[in-house]
Amino acid sequence: MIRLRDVNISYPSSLAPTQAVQDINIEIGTEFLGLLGPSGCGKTTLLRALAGLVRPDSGTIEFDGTGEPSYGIVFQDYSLLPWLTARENIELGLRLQYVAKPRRAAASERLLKSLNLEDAAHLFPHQLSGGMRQRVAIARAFAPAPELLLMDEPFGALDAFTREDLQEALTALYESEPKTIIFVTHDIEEALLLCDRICVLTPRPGRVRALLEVPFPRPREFSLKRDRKFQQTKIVTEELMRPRTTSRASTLLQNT
Amino acid sequence: MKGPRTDLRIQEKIRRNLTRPHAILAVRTRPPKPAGIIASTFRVQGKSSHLLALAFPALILLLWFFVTATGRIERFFLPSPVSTLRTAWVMLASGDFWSDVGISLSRILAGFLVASVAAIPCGIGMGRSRMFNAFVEPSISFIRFVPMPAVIPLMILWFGSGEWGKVMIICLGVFFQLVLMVADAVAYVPEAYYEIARSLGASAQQRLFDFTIPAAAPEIMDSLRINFGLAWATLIFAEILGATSGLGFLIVRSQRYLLTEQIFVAVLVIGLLGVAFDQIFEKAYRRWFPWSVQVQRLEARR
Repeated sequence: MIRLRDVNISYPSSLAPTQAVQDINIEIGTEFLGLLGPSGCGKTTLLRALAGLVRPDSGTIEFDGTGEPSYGIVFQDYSLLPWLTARENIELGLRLQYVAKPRRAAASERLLKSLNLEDAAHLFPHQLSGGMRQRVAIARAFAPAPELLLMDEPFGALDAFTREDLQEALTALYESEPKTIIFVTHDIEEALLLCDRICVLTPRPGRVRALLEVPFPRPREFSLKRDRKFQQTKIVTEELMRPRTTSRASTLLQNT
Repeated sequence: MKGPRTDLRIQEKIRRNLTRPHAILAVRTRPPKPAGIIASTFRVQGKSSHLLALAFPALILLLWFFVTATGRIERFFLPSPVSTLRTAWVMLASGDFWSDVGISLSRILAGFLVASVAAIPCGIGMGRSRMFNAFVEPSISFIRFVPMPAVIPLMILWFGSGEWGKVMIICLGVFFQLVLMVADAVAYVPEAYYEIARSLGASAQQRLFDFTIPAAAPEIMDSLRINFGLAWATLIFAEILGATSGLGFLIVRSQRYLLTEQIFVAVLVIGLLGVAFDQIFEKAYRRWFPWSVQVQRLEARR
């Protein structure tokens, strides 16, 4: 369980400190949580605070259990070390923790298989397509079995087809080994397809506008995109993301 | 005015062309631009560009040949290519020349090695620690802007004109340049790599050896290459100013005896050795860092 209480973060700018996120209160369990909001609403900043890369100005981020959890991180870019092969990248976390070679190999073999990367194991990132690279990045983050997985628009730079492939792969991976995943995106459909709950943030400064339970059961089939209920939920979420929630949205919200 | 027949004919034409879309395309596309005579002869891309690279020296050689063939220029002023070649043959066959080359090479290798061994850790420290950087960077920048030839006489005074002096000159000439370039290379390692390191629970030592050093290695290698060229030039200059052996000294001695052919040979050998070193560095770079952005850019251009 992760508890964020009254978290305020501003950008460390010497000119004028800009409030990035304001009064964030969320409790996160073992779930797939989406941070959804327009560009520049502080979702990345919030994610970085969860990773301990940014310190909140005020408020607390509490982790249940023994202090800071182990976490994995995936960015839109630069998620792989270019001087290591796909397999070496995946095994990196385990190697840094001095896990013995046979156990490392077993872990990377399993992830290579489940992410369809077996033919790419010996290739370097620059020899892979963007989609393959992000597959390896996901595998790299999953390999040390972290308690928490932070993903910052990992599919943002991919074309539509590749993105759907990866969304499905990630969903399958999550459903086979549930853990806390926090997923930053500005794509409503992506958030609805992947997440259990979605935290909608307002434009700068980012505040929690709504916490939505995604009403689709798991395991999920991506054909659900064509359901009427999916389309309706998408419209409601879209309304929520507009600068000012119209009265129409609030009535829609009450109906769902 | 179009009769029904014309219409039919046009329709037929369209129908036929629709089944063969490339026929329509073929009409629209322009014929390929004819390549220039030189470009098509040498096929500038790929291996044949080597031929083009040799064309310019060949041109110079030809000019040199004709200028000296007129006989109007004194031999000690500008010897002919033929007599230079003859001298080169004699020199290359003699042991003295090779011992001069060997001495120059051992000096540069020793000096460069010592400078690199000192500069790389120091540069990494500067690139990673803001405090250490603030402590030494301004002083190093100052020294860097003092051209090495300006302090060579001082170096000779301090360390003498023996081997130790030469090695020190190369060492100091390279160190200050190299240390700043290494520091830059390390400072520009993308922050994302350190964020990955943190997420994977890397220790400080692992961060250095598994992230910083491999990420900065191509840039460091490039700095070594640039500075090796610089060191080569510095060494020759130092040997001209005060030495009793080496390629630089060979030039001074030849000048003294008006053996201009020998100067030419020495200059050519110095240049060729420089190019050879550069090639070695480049080959090593490509082999060791096939993943680096620079190599990929070069590959893409082919």
